[in-house]
Amino acid sequence: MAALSGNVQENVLEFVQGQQDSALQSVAKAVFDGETSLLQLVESLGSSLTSTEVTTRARATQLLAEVLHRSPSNRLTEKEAEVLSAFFCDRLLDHHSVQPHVLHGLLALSAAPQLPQGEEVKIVQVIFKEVYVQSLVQTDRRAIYNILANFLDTRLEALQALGADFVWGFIQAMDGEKDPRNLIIAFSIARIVAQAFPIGTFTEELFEVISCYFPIDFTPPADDPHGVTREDLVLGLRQVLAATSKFAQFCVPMLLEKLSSDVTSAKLDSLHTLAACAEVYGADSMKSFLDLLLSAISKEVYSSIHQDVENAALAGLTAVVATLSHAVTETRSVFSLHHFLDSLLKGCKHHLCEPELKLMWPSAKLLQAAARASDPACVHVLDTAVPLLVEQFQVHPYPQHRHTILEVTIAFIHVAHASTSGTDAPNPVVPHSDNFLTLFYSVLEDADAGLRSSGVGGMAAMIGITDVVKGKHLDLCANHLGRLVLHDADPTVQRRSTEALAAMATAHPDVVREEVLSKLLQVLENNNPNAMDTNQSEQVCAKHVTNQYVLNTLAAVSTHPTIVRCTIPKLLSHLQALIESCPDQATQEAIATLDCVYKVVEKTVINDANVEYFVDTIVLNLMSMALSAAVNTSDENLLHDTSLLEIVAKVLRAVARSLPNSTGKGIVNSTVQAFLQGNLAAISLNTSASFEPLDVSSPWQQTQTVQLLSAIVCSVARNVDIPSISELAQKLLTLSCASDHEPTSLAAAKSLSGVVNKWDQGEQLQTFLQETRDCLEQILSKTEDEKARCRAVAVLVWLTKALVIRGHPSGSQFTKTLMALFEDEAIGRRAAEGFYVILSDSPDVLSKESHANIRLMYKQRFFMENLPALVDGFNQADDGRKQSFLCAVSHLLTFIPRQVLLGALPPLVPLLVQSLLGEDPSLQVSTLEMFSSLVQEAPQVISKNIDALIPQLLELSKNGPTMKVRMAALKSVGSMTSLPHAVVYPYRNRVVRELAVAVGDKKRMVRKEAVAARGEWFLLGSPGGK
Amino acid sequence: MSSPDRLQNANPQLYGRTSEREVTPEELNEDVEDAIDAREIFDLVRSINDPEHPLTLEELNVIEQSRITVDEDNNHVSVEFTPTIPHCSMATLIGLSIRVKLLRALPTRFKVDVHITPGTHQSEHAVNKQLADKERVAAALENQHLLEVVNQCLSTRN
Amino acid sequence: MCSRLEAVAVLEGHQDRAWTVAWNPTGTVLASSGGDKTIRLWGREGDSWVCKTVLEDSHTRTIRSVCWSPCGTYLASGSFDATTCIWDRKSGDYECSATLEGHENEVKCVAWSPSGQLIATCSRDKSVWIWEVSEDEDYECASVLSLHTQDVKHVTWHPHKEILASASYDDTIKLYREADDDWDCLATMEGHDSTVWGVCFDQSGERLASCSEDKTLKIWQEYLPGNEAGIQTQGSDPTWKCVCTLSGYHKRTVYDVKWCHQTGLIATAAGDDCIRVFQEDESSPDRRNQPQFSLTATAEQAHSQDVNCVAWNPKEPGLLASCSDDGVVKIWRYKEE
Repeated sequence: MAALSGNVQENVLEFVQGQQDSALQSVAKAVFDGETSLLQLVESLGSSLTSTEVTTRARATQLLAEVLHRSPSNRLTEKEAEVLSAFFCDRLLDHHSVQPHVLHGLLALSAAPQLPQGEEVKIVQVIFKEVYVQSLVQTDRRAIYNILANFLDTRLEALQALGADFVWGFIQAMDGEKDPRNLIIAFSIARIVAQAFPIGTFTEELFEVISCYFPIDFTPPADDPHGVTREDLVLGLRQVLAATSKFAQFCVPMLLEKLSSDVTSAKLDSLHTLAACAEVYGADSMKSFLDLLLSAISKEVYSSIHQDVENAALAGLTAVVATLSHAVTETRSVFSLHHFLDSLLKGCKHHLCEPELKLMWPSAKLLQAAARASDPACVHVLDTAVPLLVEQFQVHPYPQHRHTILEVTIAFIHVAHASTSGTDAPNPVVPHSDNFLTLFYSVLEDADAGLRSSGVGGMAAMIGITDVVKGKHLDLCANHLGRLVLHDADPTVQRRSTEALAAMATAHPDVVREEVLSKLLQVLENNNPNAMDTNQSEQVCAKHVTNQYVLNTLAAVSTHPTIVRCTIPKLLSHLQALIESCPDQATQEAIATLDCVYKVVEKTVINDANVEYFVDTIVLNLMSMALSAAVNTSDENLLHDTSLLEIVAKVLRAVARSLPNSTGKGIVNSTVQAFLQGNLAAISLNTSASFEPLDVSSPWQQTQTVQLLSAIVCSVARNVDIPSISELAQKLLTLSCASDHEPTSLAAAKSLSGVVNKWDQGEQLQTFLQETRDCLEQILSKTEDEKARCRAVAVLVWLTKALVIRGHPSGSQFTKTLMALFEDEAIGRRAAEGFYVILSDSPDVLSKESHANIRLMYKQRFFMENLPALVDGFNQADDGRKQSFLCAVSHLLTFIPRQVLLGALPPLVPLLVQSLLGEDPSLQVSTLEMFSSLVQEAPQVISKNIDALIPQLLELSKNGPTMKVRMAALKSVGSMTSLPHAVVYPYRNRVVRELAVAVGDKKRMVRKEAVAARGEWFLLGSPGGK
Repeated sequence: MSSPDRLQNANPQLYGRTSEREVTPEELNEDVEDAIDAREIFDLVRSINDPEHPLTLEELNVIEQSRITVDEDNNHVSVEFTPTIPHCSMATLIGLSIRVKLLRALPTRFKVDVHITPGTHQSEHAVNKQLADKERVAAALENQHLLEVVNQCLSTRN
Repeated sequence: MCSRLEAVAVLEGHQDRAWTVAWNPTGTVLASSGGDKTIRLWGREGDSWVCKTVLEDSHTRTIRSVCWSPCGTYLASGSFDATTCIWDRKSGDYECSATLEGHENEVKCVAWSPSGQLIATCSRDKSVWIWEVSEDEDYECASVLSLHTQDVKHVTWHPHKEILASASYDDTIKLYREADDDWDCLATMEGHDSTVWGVCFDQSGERLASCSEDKTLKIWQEYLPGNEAGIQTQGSDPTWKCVCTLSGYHKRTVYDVKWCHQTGLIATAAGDDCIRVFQEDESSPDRRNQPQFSLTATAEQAHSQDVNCVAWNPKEPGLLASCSDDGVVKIWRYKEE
């Protein structure tokens, strides 16, 4: 065997003799590079390893171990591993200052696949025999745990051969371990030991050595670098306790004992551990503890001081019952499940008979937790509980008690609902469904609205379970619900009945259509202005059944295509009838009708089958109704009403957004033809009248329909081309700048923005933008006409939005043009408000739903680009002109992502505090709301400004100009209590004292906020408070 | 106070909760002055937690709107509360919580009287006298343990 | 009513309710104390009154009561923290030179005897303690009197004799004097229907005024053995009998009553935010046995909350100080018209 190269040899010596740790690097590198083998290293270390000097031996061993750790695993040969293993095992008996290095070396070997079979056993044996683990320092103990863990991971079978010796060795090794980092590893070893070794005679010892940590009481030191949390330890320990059923006889009594303690965390841990162990322990091991467990769990649920403990107790019960249920195949187990449930039922039964008392609900919760565990359990519980509840219902005459009984019953149904979802087994409710439904039907005509409402809730719960309500009951339910919807005077009953019908309509559309829909439509027809003798109609409905109400109900139950196809034509013909006869309140009713159409479309348009149907019926019909009204300006027409037209546009948009490309293209083309060329035939409207909606000189009834154009053109998928885009844009620009009719001008501006946003980048667009900006600047700087300037601002704002959101380079020029207006006395504020338009999501155009061209993170970019200019502008503006800048900043801050805001915040806060001094209530409110949310998100920044902030907030809470300002200021003041104690506590007395004014505010809603805020401040630094 | 066997009344009768007060158009009108009325006082005290049960005073019927009177003109508020059982040892604590809540939530111009509903507690007179003694109330609130219990009764439970 | 109370000064500074006001013997300094655990000393500066000093950090809870030694060099303060502090001005600044410990809980009142040799304190622990002031300014407990069955709310000394009066939550007033090296009860006055909050002697020491949660003011007259009115007495002890009850004036609890030793006027502080002044009718036929008092002045809404204490200036007739739950101390002048 060749000697080491001189260089390496030198380094070896240097390390062993001196304290030069850097020499290690060179030696390790030589081994890593293959320049030197490990055996050569051992050989050259020879005399040092056996030196009589302890320090020399220690240094030599350290060098060997360190090099071993740093050399690549494939460099090690089996032979070397064997030699090293033998060497280290031998050295383990050496001086205590050598031992750590030996363990370090063994740790490296334990991870090496080259270690020959059998060595692991030797290593483990020698460790168990020679090392008194708990006398070592933390790192060395950890090395041992890691060695064991490595072997258990890769050489489990070999270690299993050691049998009980391994178990005993490990028990002795970890007995008394205190370090949380080591415990995490020890727990994972213990889990494997408990599962894979014959712990037999040592079961109790192993349990003792583990369970002494229960319940874990550990708070990591502040700034703990190791990152071990209480939760890690709790879960690690819980896994060991739940590792084997052999622990049951020791563990369950321990859990029972800890459960009886007064410490909430101990209770919680015990209950969670019980839930984790139950299944593993199995029915047999738990048998002798069932009575004790039941009474302990019941006690927690009955007292229920902490919601968490109650929930954990219920989960524990579910786990126990699930365990008992698992072995139902054996008769014996069925017996013990039933036995357990019977004793539970016995304890709960009499409480179920006392709906007026507190323990009714906890008892029901216990039974429901048990029923939740399994189908057999559910069946068994229901078999007893259902007849009892039904009987109690008959016995108790008071509505409030009956109400409680019904709600408890419904909770049982919900439990049953969850039980078989996903399986084919019949639901445990099935045998009782007649009983239940009869019970629910029986209250539907009760004088007490709460009871009727519960009856409906019960039916809804039953209907919610697949295949439980069938046959005649389906018809009966639908019939009842339909009757309640139309005849019950209580709003809650109406609402719940409508919801139940809507759910039913999804599963059983035919039943609902036949039993209910016709009646609803009948009402609409009877109330139809054309129908005579309303009073003679057979159905005399309750007062609440206005057309508006029927429409809302129709919208709610139109969930299934079958039903949609029934309701939509009726709604459209109802609208047509309204237009033709124009009775009193026609506008309102038309709005309600269109709104109903909109709700139906919005809810069901995702269903592809509906889209084409909507184009054919809704889009074409509404478009022709609206446009034929528009061309006929001589007669008054409902659809001349701008607000009605807006809803028509809303409906069209909802359809257009969902259109597939092919359909979208067709409808866009015909719409543009109609609006640009006046070709009404394109939308199947046969009239010879002239239609020039984009011409400023046309009557407003025509020009305002531009919003229908935009509803289609600006809402379809982005890759649907807009024909004649340049001409269209030009006309929209002119119309928006020149129309005196405000809705027209705004609709045209929005339309234009939608078009520009989708316009492909190119020379055409560039030219248009250049000319447009010149034109707008011309109007803004030269015109005296205030209205014209305002219109120009609106156009500028909408165009800026269109460009900014798509990240178009011209966006920043447009923004500059806009900001240049901020100091203008007449329109400065309007221009600043434009920032709101630019950043907020508009529902009609330029939204994601409308397939607008939106670049990711445009808000963030816009913020970064413009904030400095705004802050400069604010600082330089005269006092009277600062408001516009503040307003724009405030809008910016409202819309940008929190992360960005927090980054830019510190220099802004003083400016924001100043904005509170202003006289603009809406600005004050938005700034105050921002402060409230920043308290959570940027506590440091708010803390820094607390001196300026608190006096200002207190002033506004007392003397804010409007209720909203005072309320927002009080919310803000209240939120401050979550800041670090040292920051806010000095203000406690002052705030409490000054809020005494606000609790006497003349407005009740302000007082309510003041009471809440003052309450928080009173609790600050007070025992039982914060 | 945590286990049912130590509760004086482990299974008390329960009552429903009143729904939230509807906001009226007058309340939204800046210029109208909203008088403090019995309902407003009721809303202040009904959500106080019972010291023993995870229930509110309203759910235990300890507080009822009909037992609250407000005289805005003379700045006087009177609240009667009804202990769940005549020998309830928590009566003073409950009364103290009500008093403290109103102390914190009402403008200082109001004189507040908190009494036990006549005939519903065996130590009615003694409890009433204690609750009326502002010096004792002030001293009680400087007692950290008592203050903690009162604060817990006044904290909103989640 | 023919007179009025005119506000002279409004002194703000206390951060919590103010419980007591007390003039020094020369009437130049007014001490006040309260829930903010401070004592404030107010003095005249030109035409106005200003806060001269704030004494703090000696009590950990509300300072319920302050009183001056007859020489004006010392100030005693009693606190809910169960202790009584003696403040000493000898070095120029006030320093807490002694702490009297012994009560089990809240000290509610402290009173220095006219001789300066004795201090009385009382507490919620139902006891009254009498402390002896020794030559070297040591304070030793001379007696613990546990005769009341409930909290003792107030103690006050007879103007000339070493006789102490105490008022209690048990609705009674008791008088004590030293006998055979210890103190014992001389008389118990029953008559109020609820807690007696305050009690004070007139200039002669033959009469007492007391005020109560029952909203009344009572005047008690001392009858010596063999008195002309034929009121029964026991042994050599006098009997104290209620000779006048003033009810219907106060709308809520009367927290304090003070009898001016210069003018004979009686001032009350009440939970209805008012200060009232009563005067004895000199024309009434039987002034000794059936005196009559009439209300001569009311300061309506004297404070924005309960008035807790009033104090007549010992040198300047008609100058009255008051303090309230609103934290404010006020000085009034009684003007006859």
